[in-house]
Amino acid sequence: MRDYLLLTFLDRFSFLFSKLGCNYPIMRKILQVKLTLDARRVPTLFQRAKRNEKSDQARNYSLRALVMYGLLGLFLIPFALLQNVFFSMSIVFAIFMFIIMTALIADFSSVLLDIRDHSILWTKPVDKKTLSLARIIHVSYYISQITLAVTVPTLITSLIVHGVLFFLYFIVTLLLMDSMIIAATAFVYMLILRLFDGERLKDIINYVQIALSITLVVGYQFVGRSFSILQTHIIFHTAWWQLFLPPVWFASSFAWLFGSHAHTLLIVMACLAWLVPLAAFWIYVALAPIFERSLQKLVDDSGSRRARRHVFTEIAAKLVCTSASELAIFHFLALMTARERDFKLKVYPSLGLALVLPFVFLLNPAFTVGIASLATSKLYLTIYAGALLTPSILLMLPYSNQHKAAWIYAVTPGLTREVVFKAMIKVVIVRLALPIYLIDAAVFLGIFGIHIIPDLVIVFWSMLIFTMICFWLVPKKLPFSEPFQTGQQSQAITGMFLMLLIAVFAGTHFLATIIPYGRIFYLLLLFIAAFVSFRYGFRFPNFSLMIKSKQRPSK
Amino acid sequence: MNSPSPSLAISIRNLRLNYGLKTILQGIDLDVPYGQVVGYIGPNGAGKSTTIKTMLGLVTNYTGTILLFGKDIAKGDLSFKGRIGYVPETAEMYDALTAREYLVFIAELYGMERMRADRKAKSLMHLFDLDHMYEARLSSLSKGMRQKVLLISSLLHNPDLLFLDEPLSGLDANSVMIVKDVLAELAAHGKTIFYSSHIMDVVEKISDRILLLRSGQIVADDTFEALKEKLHEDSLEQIFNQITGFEQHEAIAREFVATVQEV
Repeated sequence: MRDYLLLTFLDRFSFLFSKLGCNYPIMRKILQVKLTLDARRVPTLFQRAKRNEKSDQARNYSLRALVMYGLLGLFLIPFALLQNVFFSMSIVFAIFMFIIMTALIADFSSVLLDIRDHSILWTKPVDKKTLSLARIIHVSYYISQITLAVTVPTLITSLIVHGVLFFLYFIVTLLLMDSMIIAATAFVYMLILRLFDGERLKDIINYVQIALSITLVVGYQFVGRSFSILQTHIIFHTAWWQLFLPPVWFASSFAWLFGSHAHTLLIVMACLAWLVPLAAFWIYVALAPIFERSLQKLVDDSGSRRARRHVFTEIAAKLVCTSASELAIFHFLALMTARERDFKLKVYPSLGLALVLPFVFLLNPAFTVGIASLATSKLYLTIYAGALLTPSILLMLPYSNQHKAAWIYAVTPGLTREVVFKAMIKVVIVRLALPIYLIDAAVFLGIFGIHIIPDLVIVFWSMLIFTMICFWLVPKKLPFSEPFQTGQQSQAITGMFLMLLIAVFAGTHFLATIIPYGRIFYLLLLFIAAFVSFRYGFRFPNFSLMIKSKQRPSK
Repeated sequence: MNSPSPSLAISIRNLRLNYGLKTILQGIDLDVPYGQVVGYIGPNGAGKSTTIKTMLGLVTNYTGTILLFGKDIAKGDLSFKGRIGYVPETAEMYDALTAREYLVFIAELYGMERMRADRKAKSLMHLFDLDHMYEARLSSLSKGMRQKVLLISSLLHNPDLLFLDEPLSGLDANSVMIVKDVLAELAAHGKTIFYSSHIMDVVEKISDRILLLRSGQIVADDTFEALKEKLHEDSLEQIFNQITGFEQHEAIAREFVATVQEV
């Protein structure tokens, strides 16, 4: 275990912690262990013994992610340049708060909700204050890293434009903002744990992660627009309802201190900006023991769930499966893709992306020519973007934390790879790709009108064939049968190539719309191709269901 | 029973606990003098682990009184935890740490000095024949090895009272024998041991006293010999079956196989 920079930094303030009534040396040790755990978290499974101290690099939070957040921060510069301080700071803080809050929920829930601490730390003679403080510092440390990455571009801009005082005060407000976000997130978790069980909380965290990835993509689309705001003159006045918007509080404090005019509402909101974060954080620190106790609910999660029937899946399964064993595997995989948390974490965000991508591609044209004139264009072809992420789903499917359970494939008599793969592809289509396609298609019908129905049918059949092509080109491994690996670069290239292929489909479709009767012929062609590929596409020379023993390194 | 006694290692009066509407513990009274080995048995879900967690201060919304070493654990003085060693049922550890890092860290939490903890942990690992695993990540250890590391981590600070929740799970027959003897030896040195297990013949052999818990109540509390005599049974397994009112095992087995045969 190395001595982390954070720890040497904290050492300077050890007297402060002791004054707060916490056992600093113990807290330091806990933090050291936690940081070490985080540093080693990246490659988790199946590293054999010999990795020791030397491999602890200071990759607490992956540098790449921080760079991403930094780039995001660059796009905020135009907002910081706006003349109206009140307006510009409102926007800046709104975006900061959104990014940091979602990052906290998506990436650091594991820190906030680590339940191993219960049996390991709580049973030792360490007082609760020290434990809660260690946890708070641990989370704050990560949040400061992200905050720094996101805000540095804006901070520098403000230093240049508004001067040193403004810059310093900006830093203070950011600290206030962070403490409010941490406290608020903890409150929300506490509330959810009060009302529901731990499983539900994990689901909610999952949804937030999905929402985050979608907003990031959509958000980038608006970035191009953001510069045009510079020219427009926006009148943004204070109003009573802004009392409920924390970003506006912070902006008010700027407007009061650095703006020209002050009035009661502005001053009230400025005071809120100082008082609420401090109060919230103080309450959080005070309530931390209660928070920890509600975490107990995550430990003894004994709730058995009601048996839910998935009518849609059952009907679809009966329709698409041709044999009893295929039906069984179909149901199994449908459940696994819906429940396995690691799979969901890795794949559902892409699914969300796939859902919105077609609209994202519509955004810029919609801005320039207007929604109305979209209807007569051929931009409905952007719906192909919905299939962009099918390859990455197929690439993720073989991996699982419980890959050892894959012995079931081997002991099931008469089960061939063909059957498993057939069921797998059908699950991918029916459970993952089809719902996205249907939603996208419904909205596109609304935008473009019913004359695109034949095109949507073409898209459907193209999607089926595309899924099959993806399946042929990715390494064929049984679903949920291999441990997660870190380096999947070579596969990433396959994924990229397949994404290009979707453009080919869209291009061919476009050609078919120009040629007379092109669409009918194309549809016929696709139909035959789909039939052939499903009929013969699963026959491989190598039918054995041997599962690689875990000693042998998988290629 | 009267008021709890401060001269005992454990003294519990009327311990009750609810999770929402579910009653987990319904009025447990218990006195354990120093140096006693108590086997705590009962069917799954009877509240064994919960009792242990409550005594460790992990569960706080209980009613009743718990005195450990003569002090009420609800009073906020945490020093009692320093005299306890705990092996949790879930065998939870920080898997990314090596055995050395983990053991030294735990010992430090108990206030031990680093070098001493390291030396002690190393010798204990050696005695469990785990020298080669001292620098290995816990995630690469087998179930039995992990259990041994857990056991060591609960003993490093030389505790006076041991709470062992299923300490033998995953251990092979030879290791069980070592651990059994270690427990007996510890008891001979005046340590109080409170452990739960499902392995009846081990409980039978090493316990000074057996507690049987059923739906949150202690339904039997005596030495093995006394229980045998009272209930006219030969083994703890039979005693267990009789007290927990489980006589249908043959009937269930028959029906089970019949259902299997249906196809």
